[in-house]
Amino acid sequence: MKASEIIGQYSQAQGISPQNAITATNNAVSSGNSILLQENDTVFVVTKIKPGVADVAMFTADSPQVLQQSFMTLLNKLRQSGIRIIYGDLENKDLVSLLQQSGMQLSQSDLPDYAWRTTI
Amino acid sequence: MGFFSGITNAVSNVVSAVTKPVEQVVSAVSNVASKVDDAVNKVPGGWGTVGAIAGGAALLSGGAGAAASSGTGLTAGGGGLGLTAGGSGLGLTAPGAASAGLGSTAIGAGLGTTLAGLNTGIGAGTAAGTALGSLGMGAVDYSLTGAAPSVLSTLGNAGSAIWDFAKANPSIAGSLLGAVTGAIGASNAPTSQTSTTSIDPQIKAEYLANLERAKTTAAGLTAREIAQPGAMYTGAEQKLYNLGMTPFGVADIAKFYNPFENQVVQGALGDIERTRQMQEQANMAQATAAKAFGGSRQGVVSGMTNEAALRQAATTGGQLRSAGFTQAANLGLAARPLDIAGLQTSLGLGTTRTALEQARLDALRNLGTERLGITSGALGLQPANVGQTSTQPLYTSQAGSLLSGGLTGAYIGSLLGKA
Repeated sequence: MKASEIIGQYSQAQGISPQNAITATNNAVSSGNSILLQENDTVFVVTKIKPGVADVAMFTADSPQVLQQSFMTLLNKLRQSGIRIIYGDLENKDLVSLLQQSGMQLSQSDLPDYAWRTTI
Repeated sequence: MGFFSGITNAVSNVVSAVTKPVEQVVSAVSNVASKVDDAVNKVPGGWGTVGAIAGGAALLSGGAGAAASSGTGLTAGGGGLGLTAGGSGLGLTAPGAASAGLGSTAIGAGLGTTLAGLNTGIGAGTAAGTALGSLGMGAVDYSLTGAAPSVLSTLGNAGSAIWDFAKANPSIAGSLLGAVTGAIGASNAPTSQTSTTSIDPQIKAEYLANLERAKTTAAGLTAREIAQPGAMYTGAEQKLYNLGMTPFGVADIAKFYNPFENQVVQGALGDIERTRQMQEQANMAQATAAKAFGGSRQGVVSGMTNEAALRQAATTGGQLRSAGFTQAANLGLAARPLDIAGLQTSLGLGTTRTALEQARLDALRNLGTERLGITSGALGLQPANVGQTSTQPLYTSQAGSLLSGGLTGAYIGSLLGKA
């Protein structure tokens, strides 16, 4: 699937306007602050906060089995890139769940715009 | 506000376009989606750290990328050896290659095919440039431009960027240069080989002699003799057969009768008789005391005593003999399977003896075949380079060896220098 399809489909399932999600993604990428990483049918929107720190949002159309593998691959790419701390929102429940299943401890965000942070 | 929360409140151009005709809105969404799709695994400027991710992803996926021969990374110092991503494949271009003696067309085509898996990941324009840049590389020019006199001389002028990259990333540089030099080697490799084979005359004579022996041995082979079963086997077999054909009967039970049964029965009957006599004497004593001796009353009492004694004797004798029969029958039934097992053991022992006899007969028959096997095995132990000679021209990619050796040496040298 294309990234836009994944983002649109996942957003709709979460009760978010697909058009809004796709447009916001495009704006973020166009601004140069965000990049898209895709593995299988899972997309990470990675927004730079500061060196080694990023905001990560996940959109997925993978089955649970494939999602686990996609998630680990994308997470490893973040690690390889030098990103050690990620922030996110509580609404991104699947990402929160996958991080916790992977043994990572989520803590209260120390930045006002985010709900949680964790070290990967 | 995080990205995910933010998108729920995004006020986009699409939203603002609600007043526009429907087709314009659809078109706008389609364009935005297309831009999003195009941005997957690509990195805009300013993404230093994450550039490695996108570059890596491009390498892995081999996604299509617009080849740009400039950027940052591996440089060949202008007119030297380099890589350029031409179209959809990674290849080598060398405009002056004919004069440079590199066979550039073949090389380019070979690399374009061999490295198709890498596709444009490396040469993916800005993305790859950033990706390689994140690995610590300098400016990149993947093209092989200008007149390159030779690979080695070009590399000699390559400048410090390629050298620094090679020291910092020996595995990547080794892979790239290995592919290049491999392709060069392949283009110059010979297309035919010469092989000469001959057999030593003495070895040949031994083979022929052995062949004659084989024929003689085969002709002398007689029919295989089958060992006859021994007396042990035959006897056990006959008894087992007889036992199986004989139904369980009186004879089997009789073997297990208690030899002292009669004594036991007679003893019990004697006890009853003695009891009867004692009771009879008591009856007579009572009759005398009652002055009824010889009367009808005494006769009735005496008769009852005798009748009771007889009944007791019959019952006791019957019970004893019945128990004896049951016990003997059970013993007989238990003995039969034991008899069968014993005979089967004897059969097994007889079979073993027969097998030994069979082995002796086979050994006698196969003596010639075994001797032939020894001589045949000896012929198989031909010394190296005695029975056969073979020559084959070898080709060595000297450029590849030299390049990889130089790079490895440089890397090791840098490590030692640091130490």
